[in-house]
Amino acid sequence: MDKRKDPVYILSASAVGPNADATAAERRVLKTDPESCDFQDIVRQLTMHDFRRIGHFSEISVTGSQIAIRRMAHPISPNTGIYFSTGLGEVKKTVSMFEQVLGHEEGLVSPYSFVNSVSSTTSFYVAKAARIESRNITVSQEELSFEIALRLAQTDIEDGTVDCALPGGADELSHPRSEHMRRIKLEDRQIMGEGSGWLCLGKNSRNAIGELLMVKEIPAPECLCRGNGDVLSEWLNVAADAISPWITEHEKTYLLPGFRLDKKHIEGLLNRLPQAEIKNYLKYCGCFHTAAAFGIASVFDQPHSEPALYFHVNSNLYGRTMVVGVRAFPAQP
Amino acid sequence: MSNKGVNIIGIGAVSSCGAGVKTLVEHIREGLDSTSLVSISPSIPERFKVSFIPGREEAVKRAKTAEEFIDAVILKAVNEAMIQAEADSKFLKDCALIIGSSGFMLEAEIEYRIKNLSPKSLIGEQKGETMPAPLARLGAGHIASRIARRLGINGPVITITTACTSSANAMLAAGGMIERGDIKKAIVIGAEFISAVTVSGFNSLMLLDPGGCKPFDADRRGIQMGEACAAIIMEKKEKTSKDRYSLCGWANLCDTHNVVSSRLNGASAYDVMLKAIKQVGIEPRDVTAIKAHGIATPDNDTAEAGGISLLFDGAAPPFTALKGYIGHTLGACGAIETAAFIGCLDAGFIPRTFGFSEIDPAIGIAPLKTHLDAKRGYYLLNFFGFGGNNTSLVLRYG
Repeated sequence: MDKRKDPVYILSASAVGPNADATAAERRVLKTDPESCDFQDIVRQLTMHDFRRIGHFSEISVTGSQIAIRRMAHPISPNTGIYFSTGLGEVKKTVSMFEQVLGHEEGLVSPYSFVNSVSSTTSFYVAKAARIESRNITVSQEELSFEIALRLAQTDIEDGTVDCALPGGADELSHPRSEHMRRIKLEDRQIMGEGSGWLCLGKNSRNAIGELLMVKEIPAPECLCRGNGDVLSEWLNVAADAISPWITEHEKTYLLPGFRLDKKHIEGLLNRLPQAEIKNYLKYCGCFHTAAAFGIASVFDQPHSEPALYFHVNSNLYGRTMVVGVRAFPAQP
Repeated sequence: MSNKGVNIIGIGAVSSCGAGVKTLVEHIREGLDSTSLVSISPSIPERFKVSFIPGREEAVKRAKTAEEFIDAVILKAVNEAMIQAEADSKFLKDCALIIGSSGFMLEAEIEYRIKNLSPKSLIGEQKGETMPAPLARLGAGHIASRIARRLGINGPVITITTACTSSANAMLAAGGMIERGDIKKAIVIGAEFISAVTVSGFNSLMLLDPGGCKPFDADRRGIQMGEACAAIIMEKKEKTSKDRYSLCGWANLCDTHNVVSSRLNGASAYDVMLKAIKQVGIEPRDVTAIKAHGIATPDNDTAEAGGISLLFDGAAPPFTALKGYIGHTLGACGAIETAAFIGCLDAGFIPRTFGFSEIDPAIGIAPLKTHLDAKRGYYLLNFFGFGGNNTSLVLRYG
């Protein structure tokens, strides 16, 4: 078991879906690719700032982070690191910028399009809205972006670099689907999505809603398969070995499969972990690179009456896999 | 001297001065100009000084795909660093790969141009497509995944994208992971390639100086765009013959004053420099010299100089800036300027500030006008970026 030095507690969480849904009651199962919702009023209400020049991508991110902060039982520490993650970043403003500069007219880019497309802009607005001037890192590693940001947050809390951490992930969708598919390769059956997910993490267990158990990487198949072994079965062994030591008799266990995990990997894992039940969060948010952030944060949509374990598993197109484990605490009376 | 930190055992660089750290250091020693004059847009008559990697235009034309050009540059820098580190493919297996870049816009731009120009796309798909081509802007992380596979790296693969502090933060992340024992070694890569879109963006903010970069100068007007790639190999600190350079302190803070500029009074620059120094357990007076960010915009140089004056209470150590030599390489500047600075120290000198000639009375302090002899000590390296993202690193030499 990958036991860490000290427990890292989850103090609050928020998952914002494509319909600006942020609570269990607001979740809707997506039947088709969603349209983007307007978040401007929500951002204004949450922040009391007029961030009217920020793009939709930043709006989703600021909304999610602000809701997570508001759900904390205590004011957020000024020494809170922000660990933002995204697979694609600001898509719509970037595309519009390319068209302004490289299109038929070969014109100049608007300053706001440019500033919005800069990779540190969104985490700046997240920090500004939260009035946090501590560490601020943006990670972009395709399907595993959030998991890596979460690991950096976890280790920075453990070694005392920051008192608390706000790891989050966000991505936006764009239409038409055919064009968006050039940026995120999905199967026809998969609905494209967008949203953001955030966790507030700290070392103090007071009022904690859960605990971050582990963020573990499983190497690509070519590194797993020593000799003539079966790649799938070796992957299942390693993934199940990462999860099973945490499983207890008195806690329900859920598997949260990421959007790159195919049927045979999911079924194989369920065979190895017969106690686990599937929780399909993707039906609410659709598929996007940082959907893991939504999935893990949405575990806390509702208070738990009993403790439960959740394991998110996802891979990237290069075959690397990351497993995130969290324990949800029962709500305090 | 403190025994904290992680060793830097290999550096490699490709910049406007050419391939190799040695070439870069020779350019810096001789003060050679490596810029080209380019036009940004048909609607702007003025031409701008830009620091391109030599031969990039031909290389881009020759390459069958954008990735061919980008990967060739990155691998050249990695190879050089590996040779210095005496590292082989076995060394790479459990290494982490951490790339810092503002986002690889050039790749998307090349594809966009290729598809717009020719229906017989050079990237081998969408044959017969008419314009405008859809933009396949993959996220910044795909380059790291690709390079890791090419190098046979099985350790963690991470891309940090915090604008101009990207590769400085990649070093900070690597340093933290190595010090905690999460990994034993890491290759940090800073890579940035000039895109017309990025140049146009900086121009729209009126942050470009057509005449080139003049850090901290009274007549400074802004940025000189640059492109570069550098690789830095870091490993757990051990007492070996390679133990000449180590990264022993680092800090990253976010200034939420304004998305494109720091607090003018220097408070944010002061905070991040002090935090990095405190991590090492030294005092400001122990700093031998500073490699400033020195972007040469009026506001940001004022803010940085203000921070230096505050921190050293009017007795600032020698400080210099490198962007006059190689341009502002955005997300790559953390790695390339660290590699260049180490190369200069190795060659026996602290470089002067190319482009600086006249002190700005509003700043009140002047960077180095002549090269200084290098000496053992602690060097503070500053990197500041859009989004208020400020990073300071402490390099120990000797």
